[in-house]
Amino acid sequence: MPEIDRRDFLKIVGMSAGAAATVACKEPIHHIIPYLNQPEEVVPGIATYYNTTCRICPAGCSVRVKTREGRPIKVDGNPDGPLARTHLCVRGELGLMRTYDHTRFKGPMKRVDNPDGSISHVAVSWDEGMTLLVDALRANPGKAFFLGGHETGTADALIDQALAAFGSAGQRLRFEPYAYEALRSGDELVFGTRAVPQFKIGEADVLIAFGTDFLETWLSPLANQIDFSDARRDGSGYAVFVGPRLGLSAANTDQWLAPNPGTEVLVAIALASEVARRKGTAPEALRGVLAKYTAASVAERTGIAASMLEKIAERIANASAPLALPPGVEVQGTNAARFAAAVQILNVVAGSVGKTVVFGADHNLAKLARFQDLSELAGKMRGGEVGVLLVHDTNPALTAPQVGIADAIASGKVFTVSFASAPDETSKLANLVLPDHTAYENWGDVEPVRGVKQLQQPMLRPLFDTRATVDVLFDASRALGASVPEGSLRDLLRAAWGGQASFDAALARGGEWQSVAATTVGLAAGAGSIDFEPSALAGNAADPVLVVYPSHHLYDGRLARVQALQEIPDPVTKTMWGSYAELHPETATALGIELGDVLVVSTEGGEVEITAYPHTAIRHGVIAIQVGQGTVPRDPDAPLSGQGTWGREVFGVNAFQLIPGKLDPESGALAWLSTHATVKNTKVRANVTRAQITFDQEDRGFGRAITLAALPKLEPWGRVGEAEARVRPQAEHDGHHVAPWQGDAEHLMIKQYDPAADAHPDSPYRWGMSIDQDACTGCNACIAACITENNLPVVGPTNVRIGREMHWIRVERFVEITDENEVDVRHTPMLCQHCGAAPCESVCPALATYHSIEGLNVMVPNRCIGTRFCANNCPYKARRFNHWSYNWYVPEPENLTLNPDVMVRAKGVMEKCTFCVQRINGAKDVAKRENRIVGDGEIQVACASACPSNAITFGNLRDPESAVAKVRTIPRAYRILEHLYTRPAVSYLMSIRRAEEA
Amino acid sequence: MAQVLGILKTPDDTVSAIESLKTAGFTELEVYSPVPHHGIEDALDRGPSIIRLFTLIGCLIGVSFGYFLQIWIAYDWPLVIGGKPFASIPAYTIIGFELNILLGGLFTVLSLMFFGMWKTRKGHDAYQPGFSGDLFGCVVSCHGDQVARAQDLLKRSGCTEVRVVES
Amino acid sequence: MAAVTEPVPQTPDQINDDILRVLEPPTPLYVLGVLFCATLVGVGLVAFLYQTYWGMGPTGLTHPVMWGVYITTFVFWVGIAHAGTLISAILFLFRAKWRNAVNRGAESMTVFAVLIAAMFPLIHIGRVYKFYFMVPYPNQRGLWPNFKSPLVWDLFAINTYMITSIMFFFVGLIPDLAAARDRVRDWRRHLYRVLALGWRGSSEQWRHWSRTVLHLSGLSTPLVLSVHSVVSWDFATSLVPGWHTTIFAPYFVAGAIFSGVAMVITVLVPVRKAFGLEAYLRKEHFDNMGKLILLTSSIVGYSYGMEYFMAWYSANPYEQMSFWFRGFGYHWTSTWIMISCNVLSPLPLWFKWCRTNIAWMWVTSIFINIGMWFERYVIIMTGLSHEYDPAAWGYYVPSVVELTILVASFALFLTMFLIFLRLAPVIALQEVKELWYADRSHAKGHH
Repeated sequence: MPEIDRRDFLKIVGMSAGAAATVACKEPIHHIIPYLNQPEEVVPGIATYYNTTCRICPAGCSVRVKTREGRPIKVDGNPDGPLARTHLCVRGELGLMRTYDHTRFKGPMKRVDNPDGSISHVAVSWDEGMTLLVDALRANPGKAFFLGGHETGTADALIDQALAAFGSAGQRLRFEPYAYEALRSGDELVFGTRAVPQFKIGEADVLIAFGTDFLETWLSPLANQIDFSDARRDGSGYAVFVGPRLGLSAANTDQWLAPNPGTEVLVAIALASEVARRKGTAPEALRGVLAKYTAASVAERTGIAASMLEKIAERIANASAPLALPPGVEVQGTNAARFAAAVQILNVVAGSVGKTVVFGADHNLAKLARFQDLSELAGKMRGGEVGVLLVHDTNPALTAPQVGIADAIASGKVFTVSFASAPDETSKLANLVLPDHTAYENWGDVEPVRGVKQLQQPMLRPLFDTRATVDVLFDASRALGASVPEGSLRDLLRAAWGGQASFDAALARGGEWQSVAATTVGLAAGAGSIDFEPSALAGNAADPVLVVYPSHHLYDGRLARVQALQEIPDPVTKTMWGSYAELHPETATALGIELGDVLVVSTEGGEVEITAYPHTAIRHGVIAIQVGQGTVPRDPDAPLSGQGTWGREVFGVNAFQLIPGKLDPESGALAWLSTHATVKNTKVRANVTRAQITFDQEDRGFGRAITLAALPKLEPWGRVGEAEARVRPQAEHDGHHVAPWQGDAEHLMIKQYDPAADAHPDSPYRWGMSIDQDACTGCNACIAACITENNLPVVGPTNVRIGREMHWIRVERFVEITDENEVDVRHTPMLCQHCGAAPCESVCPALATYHSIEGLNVMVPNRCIGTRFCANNCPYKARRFNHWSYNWYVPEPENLTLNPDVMVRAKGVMEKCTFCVQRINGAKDVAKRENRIVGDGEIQVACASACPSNAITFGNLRDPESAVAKVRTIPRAYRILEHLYTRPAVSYLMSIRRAEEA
Repeated sequence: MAQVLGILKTPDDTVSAIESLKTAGFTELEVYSPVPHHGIEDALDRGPSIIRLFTLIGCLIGVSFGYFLQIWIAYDWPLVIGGKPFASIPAYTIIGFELNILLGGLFTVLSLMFFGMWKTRKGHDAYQPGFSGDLFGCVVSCHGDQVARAQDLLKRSGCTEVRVVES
Repeated sequence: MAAVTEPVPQTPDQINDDILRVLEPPTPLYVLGVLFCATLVGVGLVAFLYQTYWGMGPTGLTHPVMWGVYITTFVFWVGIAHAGTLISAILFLFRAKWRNAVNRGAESMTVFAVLIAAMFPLIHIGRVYKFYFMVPYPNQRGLWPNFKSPLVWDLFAINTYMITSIMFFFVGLIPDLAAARDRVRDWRRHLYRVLALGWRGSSEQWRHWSRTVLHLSGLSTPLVLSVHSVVSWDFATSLVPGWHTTIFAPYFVAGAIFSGVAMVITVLVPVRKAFGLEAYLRKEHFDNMGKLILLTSSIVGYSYGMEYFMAWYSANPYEQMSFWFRGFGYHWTSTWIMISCNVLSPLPLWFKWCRTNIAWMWVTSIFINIGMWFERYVIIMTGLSHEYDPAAWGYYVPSVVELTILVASFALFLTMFLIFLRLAPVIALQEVKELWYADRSHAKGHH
């Protein structure tokens, strides 16, 4: 062998070392300074805001997204948008999590049928994916079918063009599980138009909802809630809810009627006839039908006393602007269309049409498919009439298991292409997955309501190898040799919006909002001759009636993968991470069911195993299950790998599969309320993951209420006026227990104090907050906002189950059973009260928490050693402890959603609400540059700006003109656990009980 | 100087030996005993130990340092804690007290080490292991001419053994 | 009144022999015992490292119950640590003769118990590697601890107590170490020579020594009372219903002496048997300790009753709910274990027969140890579970990690005590001899 001399040796060694080094460079290099050539609109450390549209649910609210260094980190309502108006709902606040979901499709996938019959997917390149698509289309000329979601904008038209190019023009369905078929048909029956009008909740002084979840999912829930709170300022307004559940919407009304399930329609029409009798102005055509259904005549079947209906009818008749809301899906039975008609008739006789029910600016729902169409499609698929099924932004396998589309896809007869951006039931079966961008990566526009045209623009470069579906379809068309307009989705969008200039202007605004002239409608011919029957309920009448209802957090399940939404306690049951069978405690006892029992609930539709959860906010003889769960599990504890497992019940079950496929013949809508359910108790005890172990506030004055009658007698500072001042000595005389918070200052022996004093004498600020419990609906938007703003971690079900959730603000739900045996639900948002004499501060050995010169109760996690004494000593239990290093296990790219202005806490330290100190300091910097002090309203803490009900007021207590200083002095104001003399900086306003006329 | 060692069995004998020696004018006495004995201490009559003074000093330093530390720190960087005054004397009393005890104890023990161990470390040629068992030793330091007398006295006061230890 | 059945030491030399015999080379059984305990300690160490790595997640701690087994065990060991100082300091000042036999054992237990107790706050905190944030050390950031915090009081109290009791223990040990030095012939002689610090028992040394012991007793007496008061203020100064009461200081001190004396019995009975020390650990000693237990047990029982009475009498709904929950709520078993062990099980000791029956005393003492651990558990658990905000109520279940560390702490205690048995006289040699002479002395100046 040849001599290797020293030099050669060194060369070889050096070379191999270098080679090794080069091979080792797998990780892409991350630059510490993000920009070499910095784009001028992006300044590191300074947030940039863009207007776009939230596509989380079909409501399509206009939002304003805060981006830092090119990363969207926070979503707020667009102040100019007619739907959001600076506020945002719990779903919208966390919408970004869908984009940052690390389990999304990284690129195209191809189905592989394993020998054992199971289905799996393998990654393919876009070229291969496109070839597969084009081949499939070529092989099935004119047999392509596009099954999409609710599309109302330019993309909608473009998809039609593409379908035409495939020779399959019009072969398309826009499917939503909540498609308002019944309402459209109902309008047709009464007004002869299928339009869905505006229901002006904000102008209604008497509101009657017939199982309408108008605060959760119905039409435009965010706008509904904003209007609803406007209508109820300072004790005005009155609302009645007719339905089997005291859900989120119902809990915020003043009166709850729970007729026998299915007979709600009779209540509606009976109210109409009672109102008509009082006003005497009912249209001639309706007289006949109205005479048929009097309160007395329906009392028997509905179980509602005639006197009750007459009282309500009286209210409506005397109201200046009454409004009846058409039924929501939870009471949508085999009579759905006529039920809606009955409600519209009530609106007619109450004189609401044209006043609070306004046609013209209609909801853009005309093109939405009926459930019936979907089952027909399934038939076509089985019959081989569909060759290629293109599924986009909808998940029939989860939300419509009755029609058997999933089986048809699984059979493989139909070549199915899924454009889902994250795995779901349908994409799990698809032959080909061509992932779409998520809404925040994509261009688009929507028109949810006529005249409301909104643009949607990308907030960041697509995180993964995804493509806009429209582009994909157009490329396919071109590959097929068809002629489609040139350019990408963006170009076509720009063209549709009238060129660059107007496009950019609209982008800046967020869209175009034109007012649409109201149109008048007359009664349809047949309106007078409808007869109203209760929904037909299958099954054994002795069994509880099955009520399936939409999820406030997860909508129809499309958000089930957003862990933060799973972890926020449900507004009604306060359960997290799972689905529960809700029953009234008495019903449960009758059936021998206890909390946590695993039940087998079965109908002709199917059967599920589910955990029992008895609570009082539901009608007797009813078993209610929320939809949205039971979707593709995404291991919730993955971030904390190896730290415990979670049980079967965690992700819950898909309640859709319990609904028998029965339809309402007139509207083609799915009859949700159509069966009794047989309930078998397995006696297996499952864990119940809940945030509250009791809804009884033990008479401790957390959520306080005052009757309308007593309101004028109330003295400032929430101390009791004559009403209770008279009660108290009597109570003492009778030896009754009197709670410490009751009575006036002398009785309480509370030292008088001024919260504004709890700051440095020279400080111009003492930050404080006031929360109006009358406005608070308990919708959880504040929690969601806090999570995104303050980098609150998701802790996973195993930790939540033992009470380790990390929310800085929680909405406490208290249920009071009034003397009239009515269920009175109160919502008390609880957060750090930033006490002037904070018990947490004096016990911390390390001085990790102290009182700032601006009156903030400051927490310094870096100084915290985790003795946790502060949490023990906080009577409000506002402090949360990091049992694990939660945020360290957040997988990329979910870490991109973290707010760089807020530190990420590690294990072993305490944390709590900071009053969004990062925002306070930001505003102070601005003010300092302009050499002034921060004015009122300049600082909006995350929860306050999100709150759709404007329940939260934040500001400077030292400025007597500030909103918060003013609102604290109104009589309804009080402070929780005031008698402990913690000097809290957060005051609450009593909720107002409108129902009881004293 | 010679040392005369007398070994005794009981503390009472020891006491009487000491007294007879003292009356005879012997002043430089040392006694080894397995146990402390008041009789012996009284007989030798050396007065109370100086250690009590150091205990006092330690306690005073402790308590004053304790309060000073806390109050000075409170005003070194004033922070409002739980709405209390910067220096909350009642709360500070506890640590003042603890430091008082701590330094009192430390000073006591250190002074024992110094007076009891260090200063008495020399001149124990007469010691033998039995003194930690059941024997008492009485050592007289005297000049040559006195040795005989000392032995005689010790013998008469009941020593089981008397011998001269050369230093 | 020595029971006639028991042998009486004839000469001081015999006392030496008997007591120092304990130091003879160990039996295999002894070695096995030490190894077993040491292994348990190792397991506990692993558990602690696991917890330190992951955070407090592996524990059962959660909202709202932020304190659990660790603080319970901390308070428990601090309590155990009280018997030694009580017996060696307070009874010394009261000139209670019967203390001489048990005080060495008790003092050693004090030292070991307080060492273990001092570990638990560190095990308990979320970031043990930052524990020094509690210590006032000068730093360029000008950061100091919060002297208003009871936990800092605790830090000072516990460490003062640890140092003082170690000094007291060692000073008392010096003459015996000298005795051992003059007797033992193997390698340990060198160890004793160093430890005895040149002790020769000259009257000069005795003079300073007795004065030192007197002063240390004088200092320890208020200290021992203050330490557990300070520990109780960890709870009493808070707002938590069930914690926020003024009787806590005396209540806790009594409880501490109660459990401490019980632990002395639990440990000394086997020692007495194994090393044939019946002549020194006499029935009269157990009789007296039995009386001490009766006294403290009735104080503790009174406190239990008073807590419930005040809860009812104050008409304070938070207190009432808290105590209802304590008695009949989720943790009711713990409460009733506490009451039956601490109040009922000592009742037979009203009879002298039970007090002088070694086996009976031993069993009772074990019950008391269990009961006193549960007392602290109950106070911490139930107080925190049901606080002011009903929406924030919750439960706590200890985790495996916590219980492992709890067991390991007992193992560590035994390991240290067993090793101590072989290293130094478990009975205060010179004090027993002193007594022996005093009984026969007619010279003036008695104790």
